[in-house]
Amino acid sequence: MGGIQYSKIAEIKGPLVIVDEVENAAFDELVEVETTDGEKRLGKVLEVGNGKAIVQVFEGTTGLSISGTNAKFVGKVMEMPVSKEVLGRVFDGLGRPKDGLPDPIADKFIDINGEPMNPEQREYPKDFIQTGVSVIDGMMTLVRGQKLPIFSGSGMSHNLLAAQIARQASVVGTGDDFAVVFAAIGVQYSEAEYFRRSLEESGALKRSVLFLNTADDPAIERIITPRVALTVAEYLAFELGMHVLVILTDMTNYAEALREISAAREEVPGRKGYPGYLYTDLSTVYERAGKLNGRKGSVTQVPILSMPSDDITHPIPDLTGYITEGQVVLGRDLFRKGVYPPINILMSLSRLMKDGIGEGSTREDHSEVSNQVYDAYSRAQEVRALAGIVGKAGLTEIDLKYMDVGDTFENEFIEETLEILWNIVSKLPKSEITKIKDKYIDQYYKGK
Amino acid sequence: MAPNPELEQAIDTVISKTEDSLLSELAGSGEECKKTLDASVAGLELEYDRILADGRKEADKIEKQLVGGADLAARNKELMALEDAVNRVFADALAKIAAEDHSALMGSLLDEATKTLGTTEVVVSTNKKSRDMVKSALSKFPGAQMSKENIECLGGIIAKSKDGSMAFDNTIDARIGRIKPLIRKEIASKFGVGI
Repeated sequence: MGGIQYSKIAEIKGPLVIVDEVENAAFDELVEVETTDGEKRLGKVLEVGNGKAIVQVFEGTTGLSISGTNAKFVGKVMEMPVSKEVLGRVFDGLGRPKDGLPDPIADKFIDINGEPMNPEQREYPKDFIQTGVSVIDGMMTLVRGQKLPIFSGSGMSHNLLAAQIARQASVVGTGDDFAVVFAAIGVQYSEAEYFRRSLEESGALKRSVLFLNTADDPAIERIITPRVALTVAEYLAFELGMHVLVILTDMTNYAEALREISAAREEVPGRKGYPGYLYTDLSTVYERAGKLNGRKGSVTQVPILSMPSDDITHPIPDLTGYITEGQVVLGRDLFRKGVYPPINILMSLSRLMKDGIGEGSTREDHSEVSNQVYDAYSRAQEVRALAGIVGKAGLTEIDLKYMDVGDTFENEFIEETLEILWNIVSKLPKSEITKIKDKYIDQYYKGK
Repeated sequence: MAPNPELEQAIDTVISKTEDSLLSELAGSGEECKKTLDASVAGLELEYDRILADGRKEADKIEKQLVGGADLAARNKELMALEDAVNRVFADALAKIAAEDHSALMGSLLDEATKTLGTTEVVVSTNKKSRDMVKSALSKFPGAQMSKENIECLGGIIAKSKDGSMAFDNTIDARIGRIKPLIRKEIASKFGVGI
């Protein structure tokens, strides 16, 4: 039975408190650490053995001392109170109300670590989810139940994009309820305020749940933030039958917190000092997306991570890419040119797109026109490189048309998705359009 | 001055030619204006439609914003009122519990605490009112002793191991604190919420 309070603290090391002479503590058990002045902080058991328990304190160990600190083992794991009432609410990184309102009246208390989805019960994702961002909807379509990360870089417009998706996203052609769970992990205060205001002003807050862990909140809290967010998302999806889009930004801060704990535990570091289990740990977050057979709702994830030095081979994007189903990559060159959203389509991919588009979902020509634009944009990049060497005057007429396609794609691809894709390919002569069936060319081609 | 028919004819010719040229230019300009106007009609209509569509979009946005904001504000007030009511129920319940006699409960609270700590070698604290009740119940727990100081609580006990390394709070306050989040829903349902 839980509830025993221990007062023999052997050591305080970074975010960890080592409690001595502990009996019957359980792995992951919730711990209330009480300071000498009565302040209570939450933590969880990371390791037990030899009469000792290693407790990770979410709110940091600043101000704790070995004498006078008590650790109360609560006898249960960390749980998040859930009900439909959480919609429209703003919580901190540990799931406590941050909007001045009381705790939600809970229908249930759910373990924040979630229950692994039975692979046999998983349903293959194939329904379109509209983000309202043309380049994503047109070229790397998001599908309900998919996990599609956005790889960004420091200072780029990923937060703007995240807020835009949260405001605009919807499920098309169904009356099913839709909700957005937004978890801001280690973001600046101004960014957190921007997310909150953006959702409030667009009226989207009432179908959203916000979890805000700001940069000055304890780093260790960041380990919990995506988990409480996903717990709420799973409840809304699988208990209440809603389609839930979860946006997690910035997962790099999550991985940094993981590294901090790993270093404090003196674990053997892996690449760039991240723990060797980074892949496994990330998968416990990302794999909480999906659809279940016989259940109405779905959890779709758009984790956002900023790549240190724009390095896509950095362990965080690298390992994320192994787990998720594609990626949306923001390009520094496009960002510098002032293109919004600066998505580099040549490096981006939605692996489940093919199943979520076409007749009955979006439009019958979607796949082909998207492929044609991808092909033309790729040629445009080659032609641009060539122009850098031989100059524009040295290019053929068709090369110049491809350059025009590249410019138009970057500058105009922000409104009605498929029509714009056609406007772009229609700059090429019909003879260059090789990836689209003749009947679609006859129907939609806009060139002379 | 005598009339000069040749000069007059020449003047008439010039006037007539100028008139023809002006008329044809006017006709051409008229036609050009008409063409320009005709051509701009489509553009204007498009622009008109675009402005209307933008206006509608903006109106929809503002409507959504107002309705969403009002919905949330109403819901938040309801939550605050409900929380207030739930807290009043708890306060009333606590006042009733405080007034009750807990002597029958002390034995089981002590038993639970010593079992949880795994020893009867404990120092037990309670409030002033329950001190005698706890003292009489202690005889069943060998090694257990009463703390010299009283604690502030509604009832119940806190048991501490003699070396001070472990403690178990089995006061009524702590027990209520543990179950409060679980029973809030039931209390709220009495007010017709969440049924």
